[in-house]
Amino acid sequence: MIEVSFSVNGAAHTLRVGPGERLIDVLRGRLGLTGTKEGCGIGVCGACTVLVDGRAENACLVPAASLEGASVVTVEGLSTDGLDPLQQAFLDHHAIQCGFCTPGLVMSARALLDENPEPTEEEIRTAIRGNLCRCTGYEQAIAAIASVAGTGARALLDEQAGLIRSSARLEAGVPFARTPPTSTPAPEGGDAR
Amino acid sequence: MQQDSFHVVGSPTPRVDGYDKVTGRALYTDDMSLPGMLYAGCVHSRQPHAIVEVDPTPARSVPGVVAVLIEKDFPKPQSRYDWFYCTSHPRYRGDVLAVVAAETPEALEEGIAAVRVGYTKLPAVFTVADALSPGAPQVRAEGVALGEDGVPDPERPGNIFPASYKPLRKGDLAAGFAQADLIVERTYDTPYVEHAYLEPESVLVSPEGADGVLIRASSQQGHTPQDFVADALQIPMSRVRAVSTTVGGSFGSKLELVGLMCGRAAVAMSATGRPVKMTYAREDSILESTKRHPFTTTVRIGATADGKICAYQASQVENAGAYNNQAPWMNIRARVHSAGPYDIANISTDTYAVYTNNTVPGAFRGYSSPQVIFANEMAIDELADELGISVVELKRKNLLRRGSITATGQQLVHETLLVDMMEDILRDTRYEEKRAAYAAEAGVWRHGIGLVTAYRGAALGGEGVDASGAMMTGMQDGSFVLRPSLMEFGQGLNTVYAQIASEASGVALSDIRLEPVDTTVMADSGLTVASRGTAQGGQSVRMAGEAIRAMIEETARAMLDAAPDERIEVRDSIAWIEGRPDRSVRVSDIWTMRRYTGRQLSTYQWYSARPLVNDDATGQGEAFQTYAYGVCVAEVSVNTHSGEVIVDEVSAYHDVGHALNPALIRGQIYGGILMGMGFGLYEEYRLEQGRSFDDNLDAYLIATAKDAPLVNIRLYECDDPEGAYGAKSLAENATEMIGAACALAVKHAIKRPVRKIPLTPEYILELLAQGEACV
Ligand code: FES
Ligand code: FES
Repeated sequence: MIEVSFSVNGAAHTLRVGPGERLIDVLRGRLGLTGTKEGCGIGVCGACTVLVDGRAENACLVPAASLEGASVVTVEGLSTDGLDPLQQAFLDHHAIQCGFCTPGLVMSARALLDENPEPTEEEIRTAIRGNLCRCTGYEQAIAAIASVAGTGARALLDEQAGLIRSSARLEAGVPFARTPPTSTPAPEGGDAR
Repeated sequence: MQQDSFHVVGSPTPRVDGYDKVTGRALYTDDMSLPGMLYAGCVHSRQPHAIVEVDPTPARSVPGVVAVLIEKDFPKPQSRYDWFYCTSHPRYRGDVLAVVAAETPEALEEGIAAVRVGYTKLPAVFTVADALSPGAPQVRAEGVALGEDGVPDPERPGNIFPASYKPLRKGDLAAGFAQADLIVERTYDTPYVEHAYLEPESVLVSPEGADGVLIRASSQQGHTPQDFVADALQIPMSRVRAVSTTVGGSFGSKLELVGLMCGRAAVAMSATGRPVKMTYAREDSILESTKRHPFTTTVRIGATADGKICAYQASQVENAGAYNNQAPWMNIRARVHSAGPYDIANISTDTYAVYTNNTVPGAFRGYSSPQVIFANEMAIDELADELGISVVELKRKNLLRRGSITATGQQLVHETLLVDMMEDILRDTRYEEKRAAYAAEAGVWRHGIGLVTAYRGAALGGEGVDASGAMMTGMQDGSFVLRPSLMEFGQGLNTVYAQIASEASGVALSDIRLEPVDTTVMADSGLTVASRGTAQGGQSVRMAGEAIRAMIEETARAMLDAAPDERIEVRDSIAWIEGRPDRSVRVSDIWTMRRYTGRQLSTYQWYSARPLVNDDATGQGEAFQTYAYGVCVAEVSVNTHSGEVIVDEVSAYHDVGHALNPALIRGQIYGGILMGMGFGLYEEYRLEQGRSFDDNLDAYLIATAKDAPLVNIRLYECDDPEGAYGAKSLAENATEMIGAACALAVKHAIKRPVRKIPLTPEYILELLAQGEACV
């Protein structure tokens, strides 16, 4: 056990930590900061991404004993004073599904924009490639990050193009189903439109 | 359906759970702790088939270890879902031999390591071919063998899972083949695939009151944890309460394993009297969670020289693993779609699962369709090659249209956009032009383009009973609580439910709060599966909203002194007399009035979908209430020296019926495309003698932000009366076509037949070395 002093989201902590203890264990287990997630425990999924002295790090790989003097920021520390613009952008651009990867993604994006406020789409992709997301396909997250940076992303263009929608009603005058309609039986038990 | 009259559905409403998720406040199961809570974990079998002696004594003496449970400590070691909570006869590597509970995660780890297991190995079998060969060890007593006619025979012991056998018989196969000018027969294989949701499984089970149990679990289903725990403890379900939590993705898998974990934690809770949390590390998750069923499909197609398909025969055989709870239902869908979206008069297909001592497959987004579509579309493509006509021509001749009769004998009575969608995507992607241009390429990098056409039975249909309940309760300040019975696990269901409830009731979206699925409040409405949540599950929410609207109208009428011929409008939590916005009243005032005049303040509604009649012996009948159509084009670059594939562009066009939240739909499609690309090109859970080294996300690779292709999405709407506000299904449709489209594109680029996925660089180089060129 050794004693380390460091700050998390601006608050100072002095803790005695064991040799196998990781930053993620300190955050989740001892400080109750459960916004940082564990998806793999081996540094490949990025769900545990936090800022250590401004750099994006996988908290599952950082030994707690190495934290002396460090300044750690977690997702909880981003929104002390209203949402971080990135968080708002994730909401606005529908960049969230199950949300398990979201805190890590947002932290990686924060580290990127702190260092490079106007990244290209390729730079955004590179910065978040260590953050695995099984749900979203990343496009809307990239759009969210690009919108904060004020740079472009292809998914942003899709959004600006509006709803990509075709239907008999909306495509004026062009009926889609060209085969003659057959009689439609009324559904039982429900459709009350 | 009057599109323009909708105010809430049809909009890209932000997620109702977005704020909690983006701030890290959303509580997933492992984020919760209780006073006195123990940490539990499992000892998994290291042999694929054995009888074991488990000695818990050394583990019990590890400081901090509170309980070590083995098979005899379980009131009922085998669950009613076939798998075991704990066993001394493991049938695959992943069966649980002991459960340890300890004061701390460190003590738990030491305790698990200290459990001594002695194995007496038993013969095991791993591949479908070996399991079907005569004299193979029988994995399960209920297994049967094939009869002389190629159909499972209940009288002969073997390894076929009898309940999984689903035949399809339409027309006269022999007569169909007799009309054929050409017959093509091919066999295709698909791999085991890991779901790889980002949140590993976690359950927290605690005592509640004198004799109750409370479950919080990362479950895809609100009610199944209750079922498992009552079963494991052998107590009435009424004493068990499950309350859903935030779930970090599931894609079909967080069902059996999470239920088993709940049962194990409950037995540990009952043995110690303390709350028990069991959270799996990724390695345990991958080891014990279900996978996509690997399919071996042999297709025989007969067609006339001008490209009319006249006969279709197939056997679709899956590796079922050592236990199986899904194949009987999954194979209903696999049977219905076995001949693809084609109008074929004579069809005979057989679908069944085979027990082995491998990892157990289960439900996975698509529920057989990615596998079925791969085999079907590759076979159609090879048929076109053999006929010497373009696959587009072949499709134009054979695709289902409105009025067509499907493989199950069902007439397609609703709008059937498939052919129109195909023509659109061909035009937009310049498919035929590129196809011709790429064929002439000779460099290191070759390009390919692949087209898939598909249809999918929307929601559960004949796979099960599609019914659900919903409750909506108003408070006197005009705020409302909506209680659904199907689960939000990332797909956005609660957001769509809030939209549907708001649309139906007239209550403002911001005044509706979604509550978790709680088994003490809502009746079991079945599983949140089959992309049914919106289309069918949304119906009970709509009905609840409509019932609330009726209450609002009733009281508004009285409060506004409306004449009998005056209509009440309700929107954004305000009711007014149509055309007279000056005569209005707020819903909060209406609900206060109802509260003090003793009027009903809450509604519970139940919806049961239109019943369908199907004959299980032939698969003939109305398989689904309606179908959703999809077309997809994938464009790839293949490096013929390294075998590397880059997916450059994917166009995915979907008929969604009515897009209730287009932004959520887009998210499903983007995510589905990457998952489908993995299926086609690089994802495989590799098993050797029942063992895998793909034990974490460094070995099992999923797509990163760098792998995403350019995506073109187009949504089609149509007038279809079956789903809530005209919605069809989407979540599974979004992924089912992509793997096949990538495989067709690679086939086109390398001019070699592709009979197996994933198309890894090694496999591509192997194909190139074979030099068996095709069109
Ligand atoms: S949990 Fe740290 S990278 Fe996955
Ligand atoms: S939103 Fe589910 S993993 Fe990213």
